[in-house]
Amino acid sequence: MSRMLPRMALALATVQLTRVRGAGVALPVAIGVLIACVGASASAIAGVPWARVASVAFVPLHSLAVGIGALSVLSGDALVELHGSTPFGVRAVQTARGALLALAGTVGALAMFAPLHALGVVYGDIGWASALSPVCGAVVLALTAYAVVAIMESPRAAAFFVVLAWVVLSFFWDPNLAGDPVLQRAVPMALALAAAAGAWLSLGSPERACAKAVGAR
Amino acid sequence: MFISLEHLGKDFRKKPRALDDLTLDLPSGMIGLVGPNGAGKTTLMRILCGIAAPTRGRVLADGHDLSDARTRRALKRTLGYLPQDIEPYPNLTPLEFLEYMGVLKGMDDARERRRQAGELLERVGLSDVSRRRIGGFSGGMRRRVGIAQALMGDPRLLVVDEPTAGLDPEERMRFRALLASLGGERTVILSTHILDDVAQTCPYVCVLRGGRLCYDGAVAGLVNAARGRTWVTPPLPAPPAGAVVANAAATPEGTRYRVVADVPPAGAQPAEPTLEDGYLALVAR
Amino acid sequence: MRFLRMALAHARIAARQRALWAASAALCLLSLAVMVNGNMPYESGDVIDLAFFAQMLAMLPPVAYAAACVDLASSPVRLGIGEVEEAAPVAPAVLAAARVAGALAVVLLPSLALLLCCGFGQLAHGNFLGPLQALVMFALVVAPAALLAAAFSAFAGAALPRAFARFASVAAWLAALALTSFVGVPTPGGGMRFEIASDPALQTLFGLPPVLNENAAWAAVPASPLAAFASVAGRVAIAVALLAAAGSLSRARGGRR
Repeated sequence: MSRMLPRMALALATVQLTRVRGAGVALPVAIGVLIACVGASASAIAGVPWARVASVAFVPLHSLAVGIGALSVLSGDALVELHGSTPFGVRAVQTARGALLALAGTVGALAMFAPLHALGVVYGDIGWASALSPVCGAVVLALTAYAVVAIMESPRAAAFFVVLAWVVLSFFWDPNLAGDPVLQRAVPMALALAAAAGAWLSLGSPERACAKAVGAR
Repeated sequence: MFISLEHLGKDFRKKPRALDDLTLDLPSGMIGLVGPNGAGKTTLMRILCGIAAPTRGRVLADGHDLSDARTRRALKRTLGYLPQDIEPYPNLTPLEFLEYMGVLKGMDDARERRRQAGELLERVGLSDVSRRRIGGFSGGMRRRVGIAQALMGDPRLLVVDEPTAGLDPEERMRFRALLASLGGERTVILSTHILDDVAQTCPYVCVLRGGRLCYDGAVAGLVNAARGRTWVTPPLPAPPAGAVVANAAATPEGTRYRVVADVPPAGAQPAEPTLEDGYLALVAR
Repeated sequence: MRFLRMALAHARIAARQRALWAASAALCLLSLAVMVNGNMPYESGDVIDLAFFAQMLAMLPPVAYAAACVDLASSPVRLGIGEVEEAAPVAPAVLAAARVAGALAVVLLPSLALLLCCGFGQLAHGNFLGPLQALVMFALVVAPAALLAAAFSAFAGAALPRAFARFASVAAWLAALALTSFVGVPTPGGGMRFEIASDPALQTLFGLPPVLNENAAWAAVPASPLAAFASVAGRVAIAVALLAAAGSLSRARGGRR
């Protein structure tokens, strides 16, 4: 049984990939690459200093893409009841999806950051440590989506809260801690992990998950 | 599989009691589960599938208590569930969807999953479209995908909720034949409002009403509940008072009513009862 | 009257989602928090502070509406009542508009309440027209912006798979904001800085400077009354067109099943 667990976990992750591959994986990675291209083009056309300032506006869009993609994948599942009737259960399925989303968000963030960092277009760049900001930002939004979908009954309300989290992070928190990516991300990560832990506990009841799914329709 | 319910009860907040002191032994084979809306059928099925927990009492599956999480998980490996409203993921093909469900049911061997998926799709008549996306399927085809996923993993307990809802007559016949081939050592619980499906496929039936058990036993026994109480009236302008109407047939002279009543309406002739008459005799009191 | 009754039914549905209220109120408070380093609109008698807050309400919360309203046009088809609605003697565009109006009325209530509170606060500080001005700002600036964002969302939800629709509508809204709400201001060193442009209606009616940063107001041309009218009417017209298109698209896609 204990030898089977990693194999079954891998099988679970693999089948969940077929479910989340569009909005959950392709979107964050594609948006990351797109933002890198936009940044590169901006630096070529308008110069590096201008592009660096402008990056404040378009770099946060990546974490928003991760959060919104996560919302789309994690909410509105028509098969919640069916998942509840399987040995894996609703919690394992949602958590597997959330983990894949966070991973894809990380990959997308790195795909965005690396070229921009190489071109010197990242605002407040202190080296590779600055990658913490977009990477953890993506993970924070993925965890936030995981938490709100588990707790909220309505996908619409969940969307509001994900966007609220992004607005707080991008417009209020980050600008005030621009030069310190570690502190900038430590507090949001801690909060997001706490929320995700609460969601994990909530998902332990398939009955509650099914009742929420009916309400969400 | 032998399922035993002992004083099972289920309460929801601010709602009437869903299940009330249900004690029942479910043998292997085909079992019909019928009752009016709100009788507690879906709640009972969810408890059997480990999705909902009872408020009181317990469920034993082959002697093992389902209140234990490990027992529940073990049961789910041998469970097939077809909920009433099932929407298989539209952007997957039936083959991909069945493999997906196979993984969730703990089917470890990828080759075995693929083999079973192919076999089941053939059985439900979808092998020609096994690589087409489900999003383009008709309602009946999607329901057949749902039936196929319930059978993945060769379940010992199969719980199906309104499986023939929305199917055309040909598909209903096909599904009945499929269900009939599943009995044996399996326990198949068929919840439906279509009593004809129960009459054709189930030797055993349970009737719930208001969360309580009204009847459990042979289908023939439920039919007998209406024996000597089923009548066909002469043409009448209105249904006879005090009788439960099972059917009505319009004629030029009026309407002939098939009724279930202790006292025959004036001029009514006795009729051979059906399962529908027996059901009405029980629940319409 | 029938439109109002239909909208009321949808408002009732939205009002029963308590989480929506909480999220909407939180976004409004966040818009207020933007002003924490300056004069808060409820503790000054200057209408410009109130107008600034109205502009923040027109820019920030609609980002959430753009993400959240993707199912406004498609939900009846998805829930199976699309055909029932189609059989009713009501134009599809009217149906879609009632659905959006009802849902938006609920999520906009916190914005209206907060704006009115600030208006009354202004009244207490000598601006006797404060509450009335707040109402006008809500009607001409905040509500049209919300309607447009919701319309982007509904159209994206009808045209695209839901997964991508949310992001597409938010991106479209942010792009629209970037194109219409930012103006380049030359800097003394010969470069260019982008400032947030004030809403034309707020400039014309309440004297808001052309850019929110008063120090750079000299560099931008104030909006004309015609531009103000065009801004309000244009938003509403585009929103209505998008909603009508969203309704048609949803029905066409649902009918193909």
